[in-house]
Amino acid sequence: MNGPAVNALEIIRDIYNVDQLLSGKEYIRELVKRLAQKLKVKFVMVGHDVEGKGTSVQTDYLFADGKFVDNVVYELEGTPCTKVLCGTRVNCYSAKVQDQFPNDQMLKDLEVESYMGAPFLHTNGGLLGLLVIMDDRPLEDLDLATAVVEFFAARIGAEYRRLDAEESLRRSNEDLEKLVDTRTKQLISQEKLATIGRITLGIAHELKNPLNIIINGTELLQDSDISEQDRARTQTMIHQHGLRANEIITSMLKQARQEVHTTEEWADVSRLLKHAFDVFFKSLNDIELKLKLIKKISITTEVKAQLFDVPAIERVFINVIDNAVYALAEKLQKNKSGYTPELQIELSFKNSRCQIRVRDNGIGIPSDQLKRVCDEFYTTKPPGDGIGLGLWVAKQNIEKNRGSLKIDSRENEYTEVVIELPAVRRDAEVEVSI
Amino acid sequence: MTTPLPLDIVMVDDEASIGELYEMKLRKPIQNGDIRFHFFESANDYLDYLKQSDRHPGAEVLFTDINMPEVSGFELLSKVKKNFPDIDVYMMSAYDDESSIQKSKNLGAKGYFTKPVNYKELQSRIESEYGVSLA
Repeated sequence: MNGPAVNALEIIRDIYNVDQLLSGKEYIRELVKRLAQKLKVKFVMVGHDVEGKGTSVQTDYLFADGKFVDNVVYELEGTPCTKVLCGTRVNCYSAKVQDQFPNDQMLKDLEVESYMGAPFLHTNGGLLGLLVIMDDRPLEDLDLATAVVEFFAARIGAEYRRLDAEESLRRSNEDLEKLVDTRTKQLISQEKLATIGRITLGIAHELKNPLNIIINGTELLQDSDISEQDRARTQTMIHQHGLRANEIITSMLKQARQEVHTTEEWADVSRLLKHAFDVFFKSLNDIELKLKLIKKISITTEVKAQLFDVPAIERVFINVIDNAVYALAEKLQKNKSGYTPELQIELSFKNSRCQIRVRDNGIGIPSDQLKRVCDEFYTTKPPGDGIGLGLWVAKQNIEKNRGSLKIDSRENEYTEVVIELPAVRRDAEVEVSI
Repeated sequence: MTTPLPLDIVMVDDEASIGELYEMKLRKPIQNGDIRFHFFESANDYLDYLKQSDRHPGAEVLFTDINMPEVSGFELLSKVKKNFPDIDVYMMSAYDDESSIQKSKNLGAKGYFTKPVNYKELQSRIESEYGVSLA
């Protein structure tokens, strides 16, 4: 090969030989600069069709007089670029381009004499953008310029498409992440409601107690021969139990509320744990388990902790107790005789930390599953019995309160959950406040 | 049925106010010496009392709640029926499901009242079963 072909190949190689680490916009920028230098032209421009209408172009790279300048948007009408955008091949005006496009102000302002443009296309054949070189002198070697411009228009087009693909991938990843985030939030909120659901029976029962007293009390007030003293006492009782019923509903509403807790408040962990157990146990339908169950409850009183989201911590307790009872019920199902289900719940306090220990002698957890039980969406329960968020949410809530949650288990023997939280006992708290 | 007076009416409920209410309700027969009213907040307290007290067979009737912490009404029922079969046991519970009622029957309960207990019903039941006037 000789003559212009060899020359074109050399120039292409020269321009093409850019830093291999460059990619995307940096890469195109470097190509644009080298095109101007190697072809010895004053202007190089790469732009894209605005909104695919074919009426205006937005430049993405505008190289003029040896440097990059601010990008512009220009109307296509009356410019040589219209011709480029219409075709799929190189469009060239080697000299006196202004005569052909007398209304193109930009050509005048830049004193352009020669013009060559080549389009680059989408994979579907639609127009993506264009590469243009312009000079204030006539183009000398037309064949060479044509070969180079055509080649690099194609190369830049490929880069545009790659950037586009990357961008749409990034966007769809972002959309997916958002979707996963939303779904997870929905599921966590479902899990929360499911936990509350597990204790509704207990809450209903809890509510029935004061209501019974209010009902029986008012009946008593209807007796004409009741003494003044008894009447006064009954009225006080009715009022007290009305307040109690109200409190139960208030705390249930607090549980169901969807709010973000950003401040800490003092909570009586002893009472929270006791209440979680009482209300859960009252909700338990399994009469057989209820009758056979040995409960070993040892809760140190007056243990207090500063907690974010107190209702969430109560749900943690409910969840952990629920899991224990589930394991006990499963085992009892399989061994009707010769098995005594046992549930231990302990709250102890030592060295400004409290420890909550919930241990059951139920079905246990196989060792290969043990390390995954706190994972998001990990469950061994059959569909409908759980979605695998209980312990995950529990662990997050405990850790948010500077605590820890650990699980130990042996299949068919026991499971023990140990929760630790920074805490104080009332005596200590009083001392601090004096 | 003739019952040696006074009749011992025992009530076990973890809700202390229930005891207070019934004591007020039964004020008259208590003052008249027709009945003696005993209230315990836990099944264990009553079981301890049973061990210590001198008792007259056929003169004691128990009304117990079912849902109580530690020892449930079912457990109390079965223990009482096992060791003191002559004590009639009535359940008083907010539960009104068939399985709780059936369970109570199987364990030997003589009756089952759903809370809130209708006092008139309870009164007429005691009067007809034990021949004592509560008015």
